[in-house]
Amino acid sequence: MKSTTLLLFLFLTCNLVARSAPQEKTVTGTVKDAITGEPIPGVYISVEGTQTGTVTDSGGNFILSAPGKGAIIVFSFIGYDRQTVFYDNQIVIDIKLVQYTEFLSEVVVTGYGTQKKSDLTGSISQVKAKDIEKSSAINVEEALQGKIPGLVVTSTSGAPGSEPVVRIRGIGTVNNNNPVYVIDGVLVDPSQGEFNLNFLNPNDISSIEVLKDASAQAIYGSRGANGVILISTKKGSEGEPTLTFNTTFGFRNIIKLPAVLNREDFKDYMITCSKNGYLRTHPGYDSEVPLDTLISLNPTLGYVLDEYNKNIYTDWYNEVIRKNVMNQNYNLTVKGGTKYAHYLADIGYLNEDGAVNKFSYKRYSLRINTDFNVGKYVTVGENLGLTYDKRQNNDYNGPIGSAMGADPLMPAYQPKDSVNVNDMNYIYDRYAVSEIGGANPLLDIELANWVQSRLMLVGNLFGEITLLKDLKFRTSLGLTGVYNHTSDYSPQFYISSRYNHPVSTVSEHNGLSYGWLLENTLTYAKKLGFHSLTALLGFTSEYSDNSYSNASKQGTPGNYPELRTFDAATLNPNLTGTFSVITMMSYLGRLNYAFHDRYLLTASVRSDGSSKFGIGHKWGTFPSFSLGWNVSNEDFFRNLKLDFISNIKIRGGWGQIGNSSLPVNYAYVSQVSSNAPDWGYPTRYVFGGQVYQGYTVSTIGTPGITWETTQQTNIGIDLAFFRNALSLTADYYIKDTKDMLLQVPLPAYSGYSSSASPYINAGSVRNKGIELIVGYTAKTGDLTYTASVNGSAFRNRVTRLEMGNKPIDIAFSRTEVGKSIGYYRGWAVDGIFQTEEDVQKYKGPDGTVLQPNAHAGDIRFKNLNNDETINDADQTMIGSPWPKLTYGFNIILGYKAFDLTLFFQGSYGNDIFDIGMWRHMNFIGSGQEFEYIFKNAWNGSGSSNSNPLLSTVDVNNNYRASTYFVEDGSYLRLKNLQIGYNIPKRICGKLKISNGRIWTGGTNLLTFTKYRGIDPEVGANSTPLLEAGYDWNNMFPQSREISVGLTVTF
Amino acid sequence: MKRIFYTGIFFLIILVLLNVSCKKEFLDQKPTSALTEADYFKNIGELETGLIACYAALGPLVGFETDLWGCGDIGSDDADKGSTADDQYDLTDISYSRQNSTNSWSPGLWWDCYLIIAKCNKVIEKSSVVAGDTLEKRKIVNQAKYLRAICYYHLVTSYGDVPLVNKFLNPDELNLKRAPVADVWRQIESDLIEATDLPSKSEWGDKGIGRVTSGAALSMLGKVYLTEEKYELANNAFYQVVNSGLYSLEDDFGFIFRHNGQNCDESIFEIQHKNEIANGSLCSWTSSFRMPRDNGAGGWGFDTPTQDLFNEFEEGDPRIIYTFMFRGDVFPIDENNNYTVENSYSLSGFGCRKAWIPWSQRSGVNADFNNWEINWRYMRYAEVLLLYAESLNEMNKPDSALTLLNMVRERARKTPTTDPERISCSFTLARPNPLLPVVTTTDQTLLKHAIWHEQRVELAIEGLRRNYLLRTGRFKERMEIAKQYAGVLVQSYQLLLPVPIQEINVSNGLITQNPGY
Repeated sequence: MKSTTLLLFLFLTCNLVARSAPQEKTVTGTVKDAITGEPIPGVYISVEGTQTGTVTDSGGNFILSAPGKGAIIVFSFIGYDRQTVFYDNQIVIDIKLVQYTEFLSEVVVTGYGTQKKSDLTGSISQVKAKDIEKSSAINVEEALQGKIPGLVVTSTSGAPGSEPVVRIRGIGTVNNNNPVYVIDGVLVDPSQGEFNLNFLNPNDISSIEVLKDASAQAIYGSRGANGVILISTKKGSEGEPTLTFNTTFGFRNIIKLPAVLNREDFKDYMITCSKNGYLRTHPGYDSEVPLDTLISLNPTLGYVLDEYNKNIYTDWYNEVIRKNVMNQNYNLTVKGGTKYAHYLADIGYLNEDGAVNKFSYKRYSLRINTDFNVGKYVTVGENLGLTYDKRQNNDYNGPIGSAMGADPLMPAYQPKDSVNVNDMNYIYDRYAVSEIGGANPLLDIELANWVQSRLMLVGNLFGEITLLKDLKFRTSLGLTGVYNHTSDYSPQFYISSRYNHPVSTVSEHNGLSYGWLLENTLTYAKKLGFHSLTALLGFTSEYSDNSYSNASKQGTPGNYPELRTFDAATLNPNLTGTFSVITMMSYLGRLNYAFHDRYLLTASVRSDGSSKFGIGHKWGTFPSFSLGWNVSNEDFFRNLKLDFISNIKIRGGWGQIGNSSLPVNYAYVSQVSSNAPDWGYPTRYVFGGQVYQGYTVSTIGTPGITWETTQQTNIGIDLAFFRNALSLTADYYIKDTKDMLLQVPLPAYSGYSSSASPYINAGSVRNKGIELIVGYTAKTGDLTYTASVNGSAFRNRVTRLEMGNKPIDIAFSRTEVGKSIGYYRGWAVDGIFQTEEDVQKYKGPDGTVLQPNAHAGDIRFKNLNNDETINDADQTMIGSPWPKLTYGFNIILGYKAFDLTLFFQGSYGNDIFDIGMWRHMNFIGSGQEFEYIFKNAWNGSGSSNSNPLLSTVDVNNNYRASTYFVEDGSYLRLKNLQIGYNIPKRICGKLKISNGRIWTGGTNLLTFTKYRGIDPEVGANSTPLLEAGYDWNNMFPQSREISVGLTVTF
Repeated sequence: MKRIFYTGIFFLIILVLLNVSCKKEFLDQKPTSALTEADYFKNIGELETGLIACYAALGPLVGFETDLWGCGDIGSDDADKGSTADDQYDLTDISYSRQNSTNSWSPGLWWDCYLIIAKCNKVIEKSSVVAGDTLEKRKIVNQAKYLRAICYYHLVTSYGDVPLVNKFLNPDELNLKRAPVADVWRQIESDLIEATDLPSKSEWGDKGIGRVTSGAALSMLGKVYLTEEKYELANNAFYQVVNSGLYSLEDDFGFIFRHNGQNCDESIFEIQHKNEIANGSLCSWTSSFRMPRDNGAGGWGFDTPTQDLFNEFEEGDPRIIYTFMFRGDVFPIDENNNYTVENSYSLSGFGCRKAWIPWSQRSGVNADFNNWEINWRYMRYAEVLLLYAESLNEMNKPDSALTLLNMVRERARKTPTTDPERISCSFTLARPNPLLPVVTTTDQTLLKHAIWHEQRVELAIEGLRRNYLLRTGRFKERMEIAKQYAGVLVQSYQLLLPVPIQEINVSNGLITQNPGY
């Protein structure tokens, strides 16, 4: 009772005092930027615990009703550190606000530990959750695209659920170049087993660190050579539970498809090709060639003309491609915690529809991360991500590819009266088929029943014990598991004798990959005066098991959906499958030492043993060290009073890392199997009507095969100016891959088919590159802006190839010493012969006509070795799939509650081998053609000096690999645009939410390129690597997406 | 106290973990689903499985057989490529003898032959380490030697000088140059001579149908000697085949290519196929490739006979209806349905009858229409007789030659003029009298031409023609006449196919290109 009275008394007195104070008593002042000295308008000034508050004017000035003595005045503004002032009856308070920066205090995950960014000596780049949120990415790779110098992400396909390819610092090997991913400490290698990175919902990611140089990667030893991407997922933190919901809706449309010929042009094209073909083989023929003669020599032409007379034209793009397909994404997150426990749970749902019917991708994801403090010395916790996804038919690019080549004169459907609507197989039978060959793309879609369902799990349990004051032990048991079930059904139907499946086929793939990873580390961290030391020791072991089975059976009765099972099928059961186990063991150690925050040292070593290699070759040791010098912390530097420079750090490092990512697990031993490697067909044979099983050497082992080693030297500099408003990081590296593991193509006379060629440690590759990222953050009035630019360039050279430095030729690409991996090789085009005279005039040094088989309209090839013939020896480097520069830039603008994000990404200087065009050229005579090929072709003297005439006969071999097919693949793309509105606090209050944001934007909105094909982003994606940069013109094109999104936190 | 407790736990965990994971065997993983080579080829049974793999490489999917008709028929005056213009475009260039070094079809034979050769080499090599009966081992080795020899025969006739590989080479031994033609022929001869030691057809018995016999080796040896113009040796070899009494001409020419004509009395060597119920397929694609590309026929329409081949047939020769399919012919599909031949995409309008599979034989579990049970008749007795005749004539023994030649003609004459597998034939056979008159000329040149003529009509579209033309030096002349409509002009260098460009590149120039390409 007594205390209540006292409180009441105090309250009243305070009130009285406040009321009796003179009304005019105020505090005034100016708020300025601590670095630039510029006044800052719009700074919010409040008195803690009261309703009193004001805002600075355009000159940064403010007037505040004076609070009571002892009150706390708070100055706050977006992008600046909060500042508080203790009120002691001052009349004027001038404030200098310091721009908010995470730069120096930021912590970076480095693998088996963290480090202050200022103490880093290696090359590590970071992407934060807020950057990912603004990219509306649906997978990790997309979230990284264009954000990190030295990391190149390329889309492989525009089909829903397809995964882009990631390359870090060039092409280190002709073997596997995929980086490994470490998700909350669990190492995941998507190139092994059934794993797929699509499992990770980008909404769950709190930060991504990319380890780019050897000194950073070496702690991952033999897994680090292609770069390591560390992903930390979001965690709960102490506080009330909050619930966040976000959603995105988007509409997609295919960006571009090359125009194809219309009805008339198609007919003209067919006649032109045949006529030119006739004239090629009948030199001197100078009158009009009768159509009948052409038809008798090329029956296809006859069918085309018959079809043409039926007066039908089908726009296959229109038939096949759907417009405005929807994309939806929902996430619901709850998080919070107490002093002793933190939790976060997230569920997500994603649905992408494809631009082609029956193509789609769905993902359901669940994440539960918790940690607990048990007593003073123990922390235990878990991270668990569980994802189910379902891909439908997007494993191949069929329908759009076949729409590009489909017969335009074929109707899409059979005449109504010729098919029976009531027939069970009506859905197949209703499609028309072409007289001139080529499939009906709609039928292709109808026949597509491929469905892949995967259940994927990545998680770990961990415990951390503080053993002594500075000594911690951490143990983590990581688990990965993927179950992949893929089913397919090929229906039974009969349209004609060539378009039919006499019998249905049910097939299924079941794959299970699981593994565990046990990691035990001891960390000792000590600060003593100017000395700061962290030492790490660890032991890890790893086990992974991949098994699969493929089964098929034929002859289900009818095409009834419920009978598409093995039990219902009656014929020809077929079953294959196997398992493989990979094990690894490692010892690792790392030392971080800093003296006086100026001199930094990191040294690490990891020793890895792998089951992939034979006895005596299993173990590899990978050391590294790096040094750093924080120049700006030196006294002499401070004495220079160069206040505009806020940070200078020079870094340098060296290290060796390994790569054991062989596509085969037992390359060290020759194997004998009942399957011939040559065609994958059984090695059985028939004697006396009985079948006997044969065995053959299926792979040739290389007993001495061992680790591929990458040695990398990195020099970098970090600069920051104007209290970190402007920052710059630059790195230069030399990366040497030695003992490159490679399946060397051997001469066919060896009897090894290309797939059975042995793996050997076959060569060396050097990549040299530079990377630069510049960022600037500033503010004028209510406008805040951040801009960052990054770029990277690398040069790739093969320095040695085993087996006598023989070049490796695959398709149109050659890999040889002194040049970049997989450059395009062929003949150089030197224009088009305009007349027969030109042909005769094109002579070698001794007067021989160089291209005696050529005629007007054929390509003139350069006689590079100046001899008497144009032959193989005149081939040269005609292009390279590797860009000279890849770059990205980000612009983020904020104005009051609005923000705008623009993100561009591009590639410069890479060439695309338009193999699709090459294919069209050789296929002259049936099927649709691209408009630009027909319209630009030579058709008489002076008509074109770059495109040969179209002819069914190609005696001059115009369509050999040449510069004619190589095109500039440079492009610049507006990858993302987002305009957002952050719902102001007071509206939030009314809506009973704590935060809210709505936005609209788009993906792939603009593309600038000279490339004529479907999409320039095809560049680096084609696999295998030695055939990089081929555009087969059958990819599923990229889409442009317009979307809206909403995020609400309760 | 608590800390001591945790430290204790820590060391306990460490001990357990080290115990679990540090086991030496943890890093030893053996291949799954395959044997290691070191563990295999240890006894005769295992060596035999290696041999089966050699045979198997003759037959799967596309490969050796396809190369035979692709180059042998289409690359000769007998056939056009057929099919649609785009399908196997590069084969058109071979058909019109205008192939260049980048032709995608010409390397096929090279690749396929060397794949078989390597498998044979492995078996031959392993025989020396395998325990067991020497005689049994020699049988296995000699079969492999025959297969190796026929591969070299096709290589040397198609590409000229070729690398001579007679042992299984390790990757670091792959630095061969092309061996001169003479060395290759020597190797072929020696392999075939050893293979003549094999059991005869009757010794193998029914269980051995499909295996290489001494007769097959002798027949091939005779053909090789004839090609090398070693007529006396050729005669000697052919004589042994003919006198073995194990082979005879079937009465009905049409029978040979029917399903029940497989491995008939006339068969010397056939690549075996079988429609397996349980294990997928050991079927052949060669028929579906070569049957008419008509709606209703089930073929891709390749290998269409030329007008020139048609003209080669004598009036009334019944073999014509078993060699050609004519537009308008009617074949039965089932009791109610028929198929009328259109021969779409055939320039001449003819189709390839020897590849035709009647619907009654198309059933089966592998109802995929590309897969049918049809053996490839690699060599048959009629060919031996005609080669023998040619060789005898070269040795100036016209009487003996005439006897053999007329045996073949006699059989043709006796062949039924109605094809039992057709409902109707739109081509009407003339009834000249005499029909296929007995050849009597003893003039060496005239007789030679008579034999050549007989070889062509008897063996048409059996994948042999190109080598016949090359052997007798008539390739350029014949091609330019037969394919005049396509403006064919044969350059002398085109008698050989280009060496696969990949082979030249990968050898870093050790393997050279044939001049002219």
